[in-house]
Amino acid sequence: MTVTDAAQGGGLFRRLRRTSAARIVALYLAVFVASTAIVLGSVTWAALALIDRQIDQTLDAEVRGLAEQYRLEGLGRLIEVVRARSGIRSSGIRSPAGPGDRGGGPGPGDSGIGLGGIYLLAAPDGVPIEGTLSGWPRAAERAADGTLDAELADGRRARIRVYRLAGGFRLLVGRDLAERARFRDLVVEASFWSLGLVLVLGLYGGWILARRSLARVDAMALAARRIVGGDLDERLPRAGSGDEYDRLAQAVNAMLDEIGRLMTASRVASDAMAHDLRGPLARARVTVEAVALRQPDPSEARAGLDEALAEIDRVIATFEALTAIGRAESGAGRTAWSDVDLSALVTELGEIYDLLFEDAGRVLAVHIAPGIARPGDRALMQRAVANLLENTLKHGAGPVVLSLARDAHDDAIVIRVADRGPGVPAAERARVVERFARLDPARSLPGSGLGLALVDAVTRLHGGRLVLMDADAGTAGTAGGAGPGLAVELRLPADGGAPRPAESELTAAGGQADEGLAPAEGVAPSGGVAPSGGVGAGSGVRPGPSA
Amino acid sequence: MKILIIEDDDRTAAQVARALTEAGHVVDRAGDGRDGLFLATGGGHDVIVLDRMLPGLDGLAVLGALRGAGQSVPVLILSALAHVDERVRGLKAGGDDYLSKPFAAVELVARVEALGRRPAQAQARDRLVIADLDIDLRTRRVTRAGRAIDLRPQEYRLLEFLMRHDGQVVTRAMLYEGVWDFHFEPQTNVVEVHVSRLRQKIDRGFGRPLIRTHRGGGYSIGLTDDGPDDGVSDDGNPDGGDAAAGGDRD
Repeated sequence: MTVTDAAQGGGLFRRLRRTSAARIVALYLAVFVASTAIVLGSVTWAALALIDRQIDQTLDAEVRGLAEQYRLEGLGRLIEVVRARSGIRSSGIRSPAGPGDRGGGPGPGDSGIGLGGIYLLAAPDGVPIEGTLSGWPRAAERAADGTLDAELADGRRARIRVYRLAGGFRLLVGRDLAERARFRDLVVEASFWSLGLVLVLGLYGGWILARRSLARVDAMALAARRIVGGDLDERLPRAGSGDEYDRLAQAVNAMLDEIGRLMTASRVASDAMAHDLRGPLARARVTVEAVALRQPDPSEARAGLDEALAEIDRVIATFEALTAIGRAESGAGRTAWSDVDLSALVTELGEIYDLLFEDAGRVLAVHIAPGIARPGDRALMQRAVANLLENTLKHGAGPVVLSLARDAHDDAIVIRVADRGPGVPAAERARVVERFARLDPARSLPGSGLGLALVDAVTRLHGGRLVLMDADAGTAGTAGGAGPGLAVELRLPADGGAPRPAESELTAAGGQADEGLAPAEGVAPSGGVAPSGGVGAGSGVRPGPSA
Repeated sequence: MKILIIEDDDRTAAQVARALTEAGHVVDRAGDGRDGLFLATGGGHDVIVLDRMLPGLDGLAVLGALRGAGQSVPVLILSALAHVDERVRGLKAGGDDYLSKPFAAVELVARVEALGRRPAQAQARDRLVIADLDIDLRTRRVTRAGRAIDLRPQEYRLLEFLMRHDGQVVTRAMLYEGVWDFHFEPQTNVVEVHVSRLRQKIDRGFGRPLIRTHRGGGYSIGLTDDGPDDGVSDDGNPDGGDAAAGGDRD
């Protein structure tokens, strides 16, 4: 455990890197950093541009002011002014020039940043006359007029404005750029700090977030590994907060419950299948062996082989039924669906089985509402209803009622087979539809125990449900019966995707009222022959166009 | 009849060949789809027994090629794919009958023989007559020796099916499919009960019985002495009062 922990701890960063949370955090971090950098950068750029513009404006104003002084009062006055201004050293003291003095007036450039005024007045031959510089900066030597950045002789960087006065004198006004550089450095430094903070906070938050989700996912993966390892009762942990992980765990747990249920059912079924198949195969083997080894007289051998054949046929029938159930349950073959005329189908089955019930000394009464059809797999539907009849033939007793009707309440199509036999106890009803389930624990009665399982699978394939109940529930009397009887209802949704017929209510009412309807002889009810009973209104009317 | 078996599984092919040979037919065999198609287009076969899943060329492809070449020889498709969808596919592809594995040899022989006789049945008839038994297909009136016999619809359909296969053995599975459109074998003895009831109505009191039960679950109709002698024996129960107890498979 400790080894695992250590390994997990050591690989945490590597694993974090692979989580989706880490990827999302990284993406957001990149977006944040980029946008912060853009904002800070543009603010800095705008501020520096403003400063540059202000410096330029100041220099321009000053040059024009000085040029005005020169024009109006001559060189002497200019020298005087330049000397006076040169006396100002980066001290923040304003120029002593009066308020009317435009050149030296309080311009925007003087507001703390453009301090350190640089002045130079030179003769036409370039010889300095007055100012703070001892000579022309190299960059400005040839410039006659204009604004430029230049490096001064003492190494300072400055923004200078050069102007040629009338008479060839040259005037230079400049501002030291050190302040501007300091400001820029300050802003850039602040930007880097902010970016760093964003980065650190983002990484830390992301780390926390990713580690939290990683822990939840790890816990789930661990639980899943335990389940795979054979601990089938293990379930994914839930924090109880109802968040997305909880909901995921809940869904997966529900799935595991269902899988567990199915696995148990299939284990029970395969045990039962092994039992049920081994029986006839063993009997067939013994019989064939006896014939092969003892070489009895021909008639005895013949009987033995017939017996073995019958056993093998039982095995084949069991496999065949299992295959049919499997197909119905998987929903395969829906392409084979067509509009099934249930009225005709059930009527015909009634006719076919009537003789068998008669043979067994029982009575089969058939009540079919006419014109009931819905999409489905005809062969499977036929088989399901036949299975219900065979079931009551084998295990039921007394008179049997086979009916097809629409339920007035929910408009479901109901195929019902009811007998007066011993019935099925309420507690057993869910079990008898399972594969190989039989009420007879010794499995001594004939039958594969697959009949109702197939009916159930077919019913569910068609979106319906199978309902088992006591036959005398809700009906008066138990004439001719030995027990509560069993009624099996195969309830199918009426539409099944087909257009709902306009006269369905009529048909439903007719279906409820058709007591005493005898099985039609060779004529499907939908063929237009009105059966006896109160169904005249609904009979003979097909429910919509058949596909 | 001359029958071609196209089947890749040697044991199945041998079993089929043996059953057909014992029934008095001549058998050719092809082990895969290409050979099968070659032999089949050569013609001269009365019936072809075709496995569906073949190496080389799929059974349905062989069938398609055969029909494309204008060969109308009857084909019985033999397959482990048993569901109705598969049968429908096989029949739509041009098959004339479909038998799913596992099958009973007697069933295979009965179906092959039924296919071999098909041209004779193709003519539209409105009467079927066997000895003194006579049914009018239009009015559904049944008489024997001039006496009207009242049959239920299911009994009538059973009799009509048997008479249409006059002189042939029809198996229970063929009856389930042909008479009742059942594509499954019910757990109860539907066929036996109906045949037994039919027997009571058309044979009882008329001297020589017409319906015979064959071992392995087959039936045939016809006078005993001009019926086919294909190796299956009468079960010696002409009255057939209780076919379920007559030793038939259940």
